[in-house]
Parts: sequence; C-alpha cells; structure tokens
Amino acid sequence: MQAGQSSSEPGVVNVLERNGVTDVGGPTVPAIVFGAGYGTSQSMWRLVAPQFEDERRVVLFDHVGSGESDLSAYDRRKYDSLHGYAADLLEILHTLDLRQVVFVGHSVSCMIGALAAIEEPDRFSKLIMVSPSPRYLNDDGYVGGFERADIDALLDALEVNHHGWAAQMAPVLMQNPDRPELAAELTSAMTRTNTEVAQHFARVTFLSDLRKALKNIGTPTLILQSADDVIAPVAVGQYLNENIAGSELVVLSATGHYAHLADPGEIERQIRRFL
Amino acid sequence: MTPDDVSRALFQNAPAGLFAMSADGVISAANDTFCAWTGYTTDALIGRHFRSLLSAGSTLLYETRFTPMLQNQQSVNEMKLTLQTRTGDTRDVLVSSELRGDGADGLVYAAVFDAGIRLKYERELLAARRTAEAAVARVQILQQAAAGLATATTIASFGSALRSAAERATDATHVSVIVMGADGALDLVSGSRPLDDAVALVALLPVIDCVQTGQPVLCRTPDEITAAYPDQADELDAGGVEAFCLVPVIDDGAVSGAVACWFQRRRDDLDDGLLALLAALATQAAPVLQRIHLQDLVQHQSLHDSLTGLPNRLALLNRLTPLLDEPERPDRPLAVLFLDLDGFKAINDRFGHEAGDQVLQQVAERLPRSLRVGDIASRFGGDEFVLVCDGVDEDTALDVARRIRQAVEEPLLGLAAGSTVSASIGISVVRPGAFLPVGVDRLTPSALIAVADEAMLTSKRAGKRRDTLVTV
Repeated sequence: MQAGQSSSEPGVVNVLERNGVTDVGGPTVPAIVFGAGYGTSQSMWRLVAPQFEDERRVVLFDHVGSGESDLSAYDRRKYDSLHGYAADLLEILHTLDLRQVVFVGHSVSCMIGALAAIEEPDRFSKLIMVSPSPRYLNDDGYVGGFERADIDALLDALEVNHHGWAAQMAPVLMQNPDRPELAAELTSAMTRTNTEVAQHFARVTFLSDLRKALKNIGTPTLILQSADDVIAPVAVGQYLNENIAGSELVVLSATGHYAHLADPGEIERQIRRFL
Repeated sequence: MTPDDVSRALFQNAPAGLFAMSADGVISAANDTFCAWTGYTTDALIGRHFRSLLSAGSTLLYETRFTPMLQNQQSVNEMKLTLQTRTGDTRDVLVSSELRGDGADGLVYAAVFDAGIRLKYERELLAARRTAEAAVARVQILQQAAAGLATATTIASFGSALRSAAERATDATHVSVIVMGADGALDLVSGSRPLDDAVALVALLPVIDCVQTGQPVLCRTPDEITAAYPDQADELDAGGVEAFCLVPVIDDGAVSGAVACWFQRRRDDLDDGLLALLAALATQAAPVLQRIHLQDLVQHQSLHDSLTGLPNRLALLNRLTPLLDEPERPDRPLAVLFLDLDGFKAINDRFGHEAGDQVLQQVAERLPRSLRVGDIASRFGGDEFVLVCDGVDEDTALDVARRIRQAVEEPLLGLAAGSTVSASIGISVVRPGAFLPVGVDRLTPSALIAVADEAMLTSKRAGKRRDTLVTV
C-alpha cells in the first residue's frame, strides 16, 4: 500500500536532516510545530516562532525541496500528492516523539497538517491555519480564486525565471561567496533541479483538491484569513469554516498572503488565544 | 533646467518604470513611465497594491516567490512578470527591487524594464524546449524500458522493468504490473496497488474493465471515478485514489496483462500523450511477456512428464542433489521410495495403451495426495515412480508406503474401469549421520535411488504388493 515510501523509513533516512528540522525551546508540552507555505522556508516564521521559545518546545521544518531540506530526498512519486508531505510531517513527530502538538501551518502547510492530523489524530491537539486553501481553482459553486490557465502561467513563469532561483533556493551557498564550488555549472544544474521541484510542487499545491478531506478533520481548528489575500480569498476561509466541524474563522486586519510577516504580533496573539 | 529639474525629469521620464511601495506591496510613488505602461494616472496608482497590476499567473508568482525572496534577501533581481494594464492588455517586464528598512517602516524601491521582445523570445524558446524535452523524455523512458525488457528472463524482472518505466512516465503513487496466467488468473507481478488489504486484485473494477475490454481506462478526477465506477468509488476514495490510468498488454489480440497507475491527487493533466506513452510501453512489453511465458513453458516441459504432469527423472535428480548436499544433512533422515506398479502390463495388453496411459495418470494424481507438501513425487519411467520424503525415518517411511499402496489399489476409472493395480515398493532411508561404506565420501542421488530400486525388486520377488526397506 505504501510503495514509494520505502526510501523514507525512519532509521534508514535521517528525517531531521532531510527536513532541515529546527528543534528549540523548553520542554513544556504540547510542542508547537510551524510549517512553511509553498515556495518558502521556515525562516518565514522568524518573527513569530521565537516568541514561544521561552515557554515551549518549538519545532520548525522545511518541506523536501525547499529551504534547508535535503534536495536529494526529492522523490517525484512520493511528492506527487500532499500525502507524501504529510507522511514526512508525521515522521518528524515520530522521530521527536511528539504527541498532541499545536500545528501552525501557512498556506499549503495547512492542508499538509490537516492530512497528517486525519491520519494520526493523537499527534495533534490543535490546528492553526494561516491563509489556507483546500482548492485553489474555481469550480461550480466554489470560488478558489484561480483558473487552470493561471496555474499554467505560473508554471511558465517559474521556468522563464529559473535562473533567478538559485539565489532563493540555496541561501546557504549564496551566503558563502568565497566557496569555489559555487561555479556557474553547479548553479545551473542546481537551478535546473530546483526549477523542476518548484514546478512539481506548484502543480501539487495548486492543482490538488482537498475539499473532500475536510469532513475528516477532528482536531480543533483555527482559520486565520487575511482580509486581502489574493492567494486565499476570504471566501475560501468561509468555505473551510463551514466544512471543518467546530472550526473557528478569524479574518485578520493584516493584508496579503504573509500575515505572519506583515503583522506577526496579531498572529502570535491569535495562537496564544487558541492554545 | 536646474540640476533638481533634471533629476525630476530623469525620474519621471527614465526608460524604465520606477516606483516605491510599502513592505506589503502598497504603491506610494511612481514615475510617468510606469504610469504610461500601466495605463493609470499617478493618483490612481498610489495606494494601489502592486500585485493588482499583475496578470493572474504573475500574481501567483509574485506572492509565492517575489515576496518571500524580498523578505529573505532584501532584494529581487530581474524577475520576469506580466503587467495587466488598465485596458486589459498585457506587458512583459523585468522587475528588480530592494527592501530598505524593517517591518512596517520598510520601503521597497522597484525598477521595471520593458521585456516584451525578450520575454516573447524566451517564451518561444521555452515552448520549443519543452516540446523537445518531452520528446527526449519519452524516448528515454522507452529506451530504458526496452533495455530492461530485453534482458528480462523471468516474470519478476519483466515486471520490474515495466514498472520502473511506468513510474518514470507518470510519477504515480502506485504502479501495478499485472500478468494474466494461462488459466485467466490475474497476478500482481511487480509494484503495488491501492486497496490491497480491502479488495482482491480480480475485484478491482478498473482492472477488470481494462483486461476484459482490452481498452485503456482513464479516470482523472474523483468525479470521473464516481461516474465510471459508482459501485467502488467509495472504497477507492477511502484508499486515497483520486485518479488512475490503465493500459492493457495485448499479445496476438488477447489480453495478457495490464499496467495500472494510481494517483493520490486528481490528475487533470493526464492526457492522450501519456496514455500513448503507456500504450507504447505495453506494446514493447507484449512480445517479451510472450517470450518469457514460452521460456517458462519450455522449462516446465523439460522438467515434467508430459503424460502425468509429475516432475520427471531430471527434475527429481535436480531436487534430490541439494537435499543430500545440505551441510546439516546428518541431523535428519531422508527416505526415497521406488514404486513399480503390479498388473500394469496386463491392463496395457488387455485394454490398450490408451487405457495404460489413463492408469498412469490416475496413479500420478493419487500419489501427491498421500504425501506432505514439499515431498517429491516423480515419474521415473514406464510404470515406475520415485518419491522423496525429507526428514522421514524408517517407521514413517513404511507408513507412507502403506498409504501409497492403499491409494494405488483403489478401483480404476476410465477405459480400465473395474480393474485394479497394486504397487511394489522399495525404500532406502538415509539415517542421520549415516556411516558410509569405505571409499564413498558422499551419497549420490543415483546411488540412493539404485538401493530403493533394488529393494523394490525384492518386494516384487517376494510376491508384490509389499514394501522392502533398506537403511543406508
């Protein structure tokens, strides 16, 4: 049943290295785990996560293919659906022996966290979703915000822009300009791989449809939706609120898709309130 | 003009759009060039989100790439974006920007360069490269499959070659290589499949559909699955299946197998091109599967007696040799039973050879039923059968011989109905730690069979229908 995941058996693979896991803060439970959105890394939580370190164990990670993750662990079959990413999240929780965690996800990480919580409810006590969407494409009677052609345009743009990605995808290398191995050839090969990963992750993120899974979420869920977020419009937040039993929707005064950067104080307050 | 006037004129008329925006993207200043390119007045631009000036695809790129990059590195260099002007036209541009200052006080300076011709050229290059790369990828997949299939000598290696090619072609979560046996039974010979703990392979409706019709099966979304297979849609949904495609392997007009690819997300992008690639793989696979089936058949025939289907003398020796060579052989006994039918020649003479053949077939059917799984029953030649029971001592061997003789003596059916035959049996038993005769350093299968053969002749001479046991 789980073919394609043989390469990710705990013990065979170093899960924490694979996902660039940061594990800081005190031992107080439950731990709070932050997941990054599409195209971003755990550094996007830099204004929020440290606020909890004095009181709680704080865990951050990158999805394979992003940030500090091990790019060589990218398996196109495994990551052809968000279930592959959810399996990674569960492996991180297993490896760190974490239960009843508070999971705070941004963007696509919200649905990854939801799938993981559906799979193993004991591991999660709360889900906090910042700018989530179960389906980015419009459908009969559903406003997702985008048409298929828009996603195709994004895929094109990712490819047209691929020379610029090395800077974003490999910040560590770029911060060491003295390193000779950062030769043009290496950058080019790395960029090529990064572009393929970015395009594949974009397909999986923006073309998946998780609406049917929402009814299976049994974990208390807080939905934080920005008033003015083109990636995840308020209508999507309302849809989630209606379809996740017992969920709470808060429309933030912050604008844009990155409320945790635009108004980190408000995100911190909302997390504390919901804890 | 004063130097200040020149600076202002340069700002307004530079051959590049210039604007400033807050860290969250609200425009606070813009030059005339940028206004002209977007079709808005300065007043209309100020207070507007920069992303609202972008096409939908570029909005996605801006929000998922541009913004994080700017936040992480404080600069973005020449990102290619598409402006959507007030009149609905589009303009391809390169945008470079820098973030100065922190948090709410942060200000972004941006320069926008017209890139219409360059990007149009790059798009054309991109389209051409994509077409070329897709063609190369297809050829590589087919070549890889051809190489793997050419060297495949077993069903397992055949399945493995076909599976890895289909995995590469589709990125499917599960790829199932299914082979149809001579009896029509379906067997998963490589890969995995959904619902493997809930639904039998032969009960998976898309699989049945594919092998019965000999046609490809394609469902790209859960809705298509529900429409095509309403009776199994819930189970497939519970198994995480959101899309699948199956192609049959067809050999000489008959379905001999199938390749099934199962996806955990809706795959609206599954198209005829991909189906054609899978069909090409299946076309490559068909003659290979036929060759392996034939090889298996030849192999089977060379080791089995065509009349009774029992292992023949060669197969017996092949299997007995390693048993005797086992290093732990001294720890347990082994019995060889040599069986010769009594009264067989009389039936042959009276009812003809066809009746004799039927007798041999009936005896052959009865022998394994009196043995344990793992024991060997072989036809040695004529009306002689040799049985091997590993781990069996003298007493048990005599029990086995008695059971065998009773089974043989049951009334016959067919042309010789009403007649009976009996068996004379000779048994050689190797004891644990057998003391070998001087000059013999190991027991050979032939020697052991010869001892049993001799013992059988003793049974014959003593009046048939009996056993003679010799311990080696």
